[in-house]
Amino acid sequence: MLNLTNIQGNILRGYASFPHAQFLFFEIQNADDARAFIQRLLETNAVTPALWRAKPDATLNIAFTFEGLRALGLPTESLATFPCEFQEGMKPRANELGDIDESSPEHWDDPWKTHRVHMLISIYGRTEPALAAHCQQLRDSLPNGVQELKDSQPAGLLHINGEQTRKEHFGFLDGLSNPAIEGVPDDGGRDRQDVGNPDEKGRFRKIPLGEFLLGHPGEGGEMAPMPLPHLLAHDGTYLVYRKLEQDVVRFRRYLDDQADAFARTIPGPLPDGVSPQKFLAAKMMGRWQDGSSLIEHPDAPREDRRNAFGYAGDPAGARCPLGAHVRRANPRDAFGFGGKTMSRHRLIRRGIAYGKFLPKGEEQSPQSQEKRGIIFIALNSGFDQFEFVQQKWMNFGDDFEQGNDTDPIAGNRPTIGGRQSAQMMIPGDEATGRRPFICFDIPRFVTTKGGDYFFVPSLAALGLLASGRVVA
Amino acid sequence: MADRARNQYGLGKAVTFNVITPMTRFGTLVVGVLLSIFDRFKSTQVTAKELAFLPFVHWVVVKRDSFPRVSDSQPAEDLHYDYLFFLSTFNGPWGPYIEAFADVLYKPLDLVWFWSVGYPFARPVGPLKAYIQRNQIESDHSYSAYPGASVRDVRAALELRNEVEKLFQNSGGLSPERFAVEFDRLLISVQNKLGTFGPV
Repeated sequence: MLNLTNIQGNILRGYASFPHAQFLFFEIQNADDARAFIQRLLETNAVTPALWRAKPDATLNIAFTFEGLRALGLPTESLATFPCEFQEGMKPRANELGDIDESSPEHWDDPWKTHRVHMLISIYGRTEPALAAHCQQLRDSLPNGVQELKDSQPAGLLHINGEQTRKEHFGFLDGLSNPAIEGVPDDGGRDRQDVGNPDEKGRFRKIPLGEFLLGHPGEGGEMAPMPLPHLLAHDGTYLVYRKLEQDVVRFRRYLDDQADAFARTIPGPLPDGVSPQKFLAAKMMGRWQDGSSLIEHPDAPREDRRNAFGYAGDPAGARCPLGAHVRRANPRDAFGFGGKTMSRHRLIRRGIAYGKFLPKGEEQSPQSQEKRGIIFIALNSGFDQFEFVQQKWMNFGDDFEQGNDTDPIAGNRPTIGGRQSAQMMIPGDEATGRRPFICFDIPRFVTTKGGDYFFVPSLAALGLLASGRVVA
Repeated sequence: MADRARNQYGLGKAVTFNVITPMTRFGTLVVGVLLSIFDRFKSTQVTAKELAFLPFVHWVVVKRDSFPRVSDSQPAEDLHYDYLFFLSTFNGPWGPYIEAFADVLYKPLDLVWFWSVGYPFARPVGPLKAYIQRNQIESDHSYSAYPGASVRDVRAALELRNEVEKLFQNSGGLSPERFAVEFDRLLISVQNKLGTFGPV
């Protein structure tokens, strides 16, 4: 039974119409103060549920790290029932997650580098003034025992050529494909089509709620391990927060450097409006920048956001390379077995960009030195879901017949022959005569700059935490 | 413990997996028949072979009076059960490996393990994981001939060598233009077998 008034917002449905966001980080120094603060937020209906009566101007949601729950005074009997990944947090798991070299925690931004964040409050606004007012109101209500950690993180939809867009900094339309979930009304709207997991007939079926929300049956009819007491866990979820910096100049330069060699593998001219750079970028991502799929539109983008496609008909990757980013992140039916070997590794993503878009031609300007990237937010009912995707699919290629090769966009860069780089095979296409092309020496485009693992309690569980009467 | 196979060149990609479960005499009889059917009819092994993260799966029954002794002076054990050994290696984390087994190979698992004392069935996977944890034995020693290669890497390397040797044998008198065509054909036939490999 789905109780949308108990589940926090931005989990099952995204805040698509709230283009401005601020992530605030806190340390809990006094448990009584923190509990009273949470109680006040609940009493004033400040915490946004998944279902609202009237659309607010701004939303507010709360999540805690393991240290945060400890600082709130949760008893050890309860703390011990949380998953070990959550207890450790993201920083100690840097090796497992591929956060090494430039991405290692010693190079992270504050507050991640120097502090262990206890509480994350995410505020999204329909307008910038609404967001600013809401943040100010929250800061004014902070008790002494809850300390804000610097720096808070602004984020929001990018403006490209004066238009607000859902594109990320490399120029690709983002957030196109989230899981379709059993019992949850479609979140697709005009621009999106969520799809579930493939079934044995090659169609898509909705994914059980328990893959994303604690206390509900997931794949195979099973529930994810629940921390105790059940009231604390029920309708809650686990949130992965990662600050991922994107090196736009390096990305564009790599595409430029490879363009001529790549173009030589293509027989005949490219369609109008498709440059070798755009084609190569699409092959690395697995979609055209406008979001259309390479499976449906292998030769040119068509502004087609239909998402119910599979990879089984493209086993060699002639259309979408086996190692392309989106094919790795969600392999759909690529592994056969009716999708059974991938069905337990799905994530809800609620990423949002930060920093200003770098216009074309500004690669040498001071603007190019500004920091930009994406706040990657994933939700799952166990951190093993995220860690599997990160370890096995982003930073390893064996499942995709790509050996040790890492994701061309977001993967880390192992040291090969004394250099940190990656390679990617762009398979040829016998139908068109396009020859295979190997992208060598792919530098790191995405660097981790912070993050942690959070627990997002239900509204009832927030009340329980505020009461201080948690008994495992 | 040596759950990751290794040799002198380093730690391997494959993780070893040994589960030892007790069976009654009747169970031993049934499992003996089942394993001989699996052995005789190779089509029963197709699904397991397609699971490429699974390099090796082996079932063997050791009867209660057949356990080896180091010497005659070692007293024979008085065992109440025969034992089914499930020996395997796999790539990747433990949990998803068991889940994939339960999701894809649950029929042969249930058929063979049903006769083991306390077996809970492959689905749901939670009790199966608990059962395996209780009966899993860590490896003291394991050996890998190619620690830097997964089963896919080895298969890919063998196919690549085969194709390159074919081109080598057939390209002696070819013109440069014709050779280029044949080389492109080779490249497209092995294009997804050229990933980097080595210990991770």
